[in-house]
Amino acid sequence: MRLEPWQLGEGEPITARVRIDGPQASWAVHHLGQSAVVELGAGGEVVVELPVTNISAFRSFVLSFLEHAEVLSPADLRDDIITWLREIAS
Amino acid sequence: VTRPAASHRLQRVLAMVPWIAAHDGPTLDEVCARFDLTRAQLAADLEVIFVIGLPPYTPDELVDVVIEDDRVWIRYAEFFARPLRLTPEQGLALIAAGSTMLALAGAEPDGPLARGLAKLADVLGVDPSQSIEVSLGETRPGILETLQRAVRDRRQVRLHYYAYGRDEHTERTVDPYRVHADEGAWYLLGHCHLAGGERLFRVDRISTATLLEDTFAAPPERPAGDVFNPAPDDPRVVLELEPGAAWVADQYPTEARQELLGGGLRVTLAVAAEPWLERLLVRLGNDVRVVDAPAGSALAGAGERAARRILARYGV
Repeated sequence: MRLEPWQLGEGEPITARVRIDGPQASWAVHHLGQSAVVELGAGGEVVVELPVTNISAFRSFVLSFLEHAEVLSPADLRDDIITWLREIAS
Repeated sequence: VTRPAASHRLQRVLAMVPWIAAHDGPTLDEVCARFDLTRAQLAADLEVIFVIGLPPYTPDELVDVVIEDDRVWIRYAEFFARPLRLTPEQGLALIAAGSTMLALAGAEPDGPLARGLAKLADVLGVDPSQSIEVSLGETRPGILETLQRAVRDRRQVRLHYYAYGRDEHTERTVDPYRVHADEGAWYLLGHCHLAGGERLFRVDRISTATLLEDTFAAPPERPAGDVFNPAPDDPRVVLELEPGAAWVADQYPTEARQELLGGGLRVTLAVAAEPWLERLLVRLGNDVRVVDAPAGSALAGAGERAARRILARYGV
């Protein structure tokens, strides 16, 4: 079984929902696997669900898409990204 | 020497040492031809082999390299003759690493390394061909085969490619020269007609590959290069990395590095595309600081601008 970096942590996994824009979705789904996709939009965008036990690795993965991906839930993970980016932008 | 280049070099040296030692003084040209090296590269590699050994690094504890009349001999140091006492885990790791060495250019499939691995596998009771699965990177179905056929038949291919560094999708026609695996991913090297020059493509970012009827002339033979070869006019940035971000210096080719008090690093990196730097900066957050960038370029503020764009997506 292949484990992604955001799964290499301790504790119970948190299920994160992430929306990825159409142009980037193809590569993302290829990497994550079709089973991660829970919604497919008309423009090719997808919503994926990822089990997260390592928040910093998850944040790094999401930010690698720049503005083409957005954490939808849970609120804690979404807030983590916002707080992280505010520190960089300030 | 950058870290990725050093890694390739180590692999090459590990394959080269047993081959030279097993042959009675091959000529330098024979070694160059077998391992796809220039004579300058071979000379540099042999200088490394000169210093392989164990403390106190007396002559009997160093690998001996003799170059005479354009021929080279390698004699193992005494520690090679001492019996190894491996745990089963160490033995399995050795089989995995050795099997990888056998797959490298120039390694002998029936040479001393292969024979030694077979003996070790026999002692451990494993089948080296079945006990270890090495994944060289996932690609979309059929694409790798299409590219390999195009390389073999010297036919052009039409690619739909996602350029990760530039964050853009493109259609391009390519004369494919070589398909190879590196650090767990497949790459295609070829002449890109869109870019007007030689380019390296990650195969897992190719969404479609269409074999065309047009053919192309054979590419010039030359040794394999690094995955990333910065152009002379690519801008350079100097980053200061906190200890937690020091992995950057291992993962990306650095042109200069300096250790800082407290365990951090100051590194110089070539930037082929701004989105690549943006990604790096927003992922590292406060663990990185751009301390120098070309005057007039936008690179110094790349992280802040990218962070604001992403925040806008979150409605902030």
